[in-house]
Amino acid sequence: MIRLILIQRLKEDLLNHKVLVSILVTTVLLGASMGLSTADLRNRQEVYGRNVSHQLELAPLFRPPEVLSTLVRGAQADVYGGKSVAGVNFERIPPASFEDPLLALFPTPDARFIVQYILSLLALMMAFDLVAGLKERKTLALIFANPVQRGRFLLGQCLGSYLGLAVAFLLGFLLSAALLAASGTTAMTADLAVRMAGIGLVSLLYLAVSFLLGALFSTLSFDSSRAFLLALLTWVALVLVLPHLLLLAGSQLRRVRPIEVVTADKNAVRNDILGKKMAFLTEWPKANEAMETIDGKYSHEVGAQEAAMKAAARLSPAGSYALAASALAGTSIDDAESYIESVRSYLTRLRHWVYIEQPAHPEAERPVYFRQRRSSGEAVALAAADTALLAVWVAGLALLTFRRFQCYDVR
Amino acid sequence: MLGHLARKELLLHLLSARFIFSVAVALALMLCSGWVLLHDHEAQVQAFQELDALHARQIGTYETGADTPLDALAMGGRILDRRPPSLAFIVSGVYGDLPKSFWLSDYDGPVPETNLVENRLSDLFDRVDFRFVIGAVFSLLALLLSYDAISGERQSGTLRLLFANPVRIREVLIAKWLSLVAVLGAALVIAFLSALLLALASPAVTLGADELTRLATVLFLSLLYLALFVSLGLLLSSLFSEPYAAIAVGLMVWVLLVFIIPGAAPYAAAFGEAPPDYVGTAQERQNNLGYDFRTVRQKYVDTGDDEDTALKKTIRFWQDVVEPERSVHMLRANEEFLNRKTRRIEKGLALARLSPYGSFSLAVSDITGTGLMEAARFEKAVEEYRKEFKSFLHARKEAGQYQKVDLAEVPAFEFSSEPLGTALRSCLFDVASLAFLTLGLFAVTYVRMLRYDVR
Repeated sequence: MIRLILIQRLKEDLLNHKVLVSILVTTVLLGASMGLSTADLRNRQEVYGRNVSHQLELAPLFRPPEVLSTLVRGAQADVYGGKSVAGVNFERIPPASFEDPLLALFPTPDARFIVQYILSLLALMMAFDLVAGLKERKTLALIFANPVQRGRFLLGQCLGSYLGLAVAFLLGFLLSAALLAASGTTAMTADLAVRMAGIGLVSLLYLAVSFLLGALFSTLSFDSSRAFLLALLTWVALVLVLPHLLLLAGSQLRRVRPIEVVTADKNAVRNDILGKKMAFLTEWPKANEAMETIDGKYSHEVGAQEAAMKAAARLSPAGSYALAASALAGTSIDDAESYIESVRSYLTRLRHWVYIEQPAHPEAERPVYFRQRRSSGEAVALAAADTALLAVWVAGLALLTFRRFQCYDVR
Repeated sequence: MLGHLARKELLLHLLSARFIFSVAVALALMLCSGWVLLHDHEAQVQAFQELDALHARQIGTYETGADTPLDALAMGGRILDRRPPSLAFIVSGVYGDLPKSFWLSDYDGPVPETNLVENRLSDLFDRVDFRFVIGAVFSLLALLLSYDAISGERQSGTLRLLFANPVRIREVLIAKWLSLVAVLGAALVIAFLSALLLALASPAVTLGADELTRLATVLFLSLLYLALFVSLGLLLSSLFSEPYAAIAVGLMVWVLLVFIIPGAAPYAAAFGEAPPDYVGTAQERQNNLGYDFRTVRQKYVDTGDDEDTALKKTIRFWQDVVEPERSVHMLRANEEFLNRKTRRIEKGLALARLSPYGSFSLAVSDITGTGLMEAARFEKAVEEYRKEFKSFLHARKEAGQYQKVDLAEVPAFEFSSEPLGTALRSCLFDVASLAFLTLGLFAVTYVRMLRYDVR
């Protein structure tokens, strides 16, 4: 019975061009986005290759561009190393927006963005007349003249319509995967496949949330135009407004001093040492330690703020989705953090070696930088909580929709 | 007649649930983001004041007194800070995302000061300010209010009744357009003023005639931008007899205009251009051009100097020969970086202006002094200062005054925000393109309505 309803629904969607339009929108958008992203990735890989070949000794320190940043651009953090009198020093590469400030003005339309903002809108449009539309055309009363269970009927309708959307999304997603594979920027490994499958899955879950939201409003009202308006306003609140409000609230729970002030504090410590003229060679390690304490304290503050903001963002499905997708792509805030942390701890070890141990040790014992990139399994584990949250949203909305439909007036 | 129609439409909208929802959403978003931006702004202003005072006493990052040797000043250089734009609490623009301090010396610069730690959540979620509220949220609300203005009346049958009276199509359209713009404008002004009221209490905010003119221009631009989306909504409602079809197409157009075109612009602009390469430039700056400090010193030692003289001679050699040579190299690298960057930005700007959201964003951020133009002006001013700084040092060197420079004698860095007149003139193109699109869409709607079947 369910299969019959499902197939009938799918056919109907195919006939009124909904599926076709979805396929068109997803393939064009995801394909174009991947085309631009791979070109960008190629540029960044070229720069990375130049850096590495230029400074072989420091090569392991540079962060290779994440391949899946083409799908989820995510958090950026790169460090540039150079040789100096005191061994090695590092500087943070300014964000890409320094090279092109337009990047800071407009959000990058990567796959994550397209799913979060645009395809969720599409999902809403697929679902808003699921029930109300049938009622308007008076078919609903006819259907329930037959011995059909309401729950099964709704399940069949939802699955049928959602299937059309899912197929459209997967076509676009596969196209962008194919474009990525064909771009010659990367080899397709199992690790990459797992990550991409994960991103596909959370995207489908997130789209299901939007879809069910439309379905819920469809069962809440008796004409489809009202259902559409209500669903759209809820979309505005949930996708365009809520995540931002939550982030703002989170940032105010834990406030952080401007970074410039912290830098000035560090410089003050350095100046204090330099004031001691020749003594500074012996005092230098102490100064470094003091500066690192300031740095550590500040990064602790920032970490607390980020944690509060992330927790707040998770209250909205869009926030959960963005966090899960970036974790799977390896471009999450945690990835950036662990990279910067690894560089900082290496710097500490290196300074220790240069200033305190060096006289006794030959060059061969110079500390080695090593960073363990998160494996796909760990990435999946990191994204699990957010994925589960999305699943809870799906289950909750589905339950609400079904409960609501049980007492829907089909006449 | 027009007044009559407009009043009717206005009342209709003011009482609708959509309008009340729009105002509530806009107000909530505006107040929250305004409050947070204001706090950020206060912190930024305080940080700037402390840092500016500090950097005035420093060469490079080292504190110094009135007895600085000239060489130390030439090598150590200065750090210059950018003052937070006074209207950053309304439109944050790119100010928060770009380096605010630059270092420069006799030989090198300007180089942005960067740090290892900062909050990266803004990489994942874009910032919310007045520009976003108007550009993304309000434009959608404008479409939502207008997408069934004509087709809805046709469906309910009132359009037929309306045209049974002696009214002109033009009057009906203008009345609809005006009332929608007025309603949106009211919501906009309420949200804007409430955010402004919050700011008035803050000590970090000063609102003079200059600022008020800028704010008025921002309001005007916002209204023009919303009028464009009202025109678009009216056109869609006259093109499609089904309201859903109208809004479905409208949403796709909205997505394209607001998110896709401006977002893809910088990436599309990067095609076929050599990218500005910060790391490559940094490497060029560290290039010693084959000179090695130890080898040079060894050479002096080998020719019979004692250790101390050799060191002194090497330092002199380094400063007289190597650094000027490196300097040419470094400056060329910096210039190349800036050239590539400028080329890319110009291309990106042209592409972003293809969408009204691009035009609106650029105009509004430029007017408030938080935009790309102001950032570029600041970098240029720093570069000008570097030349001034260099000529000061060289004048001193020629005069043989190598010792004891008082930092108070070093030329001061002056940077004032762009004068109102030039800022206004620079956004004329954006205003013209927004107005042209608004009128164009309205004209198409009118032509379409001439042969509209009202039954």
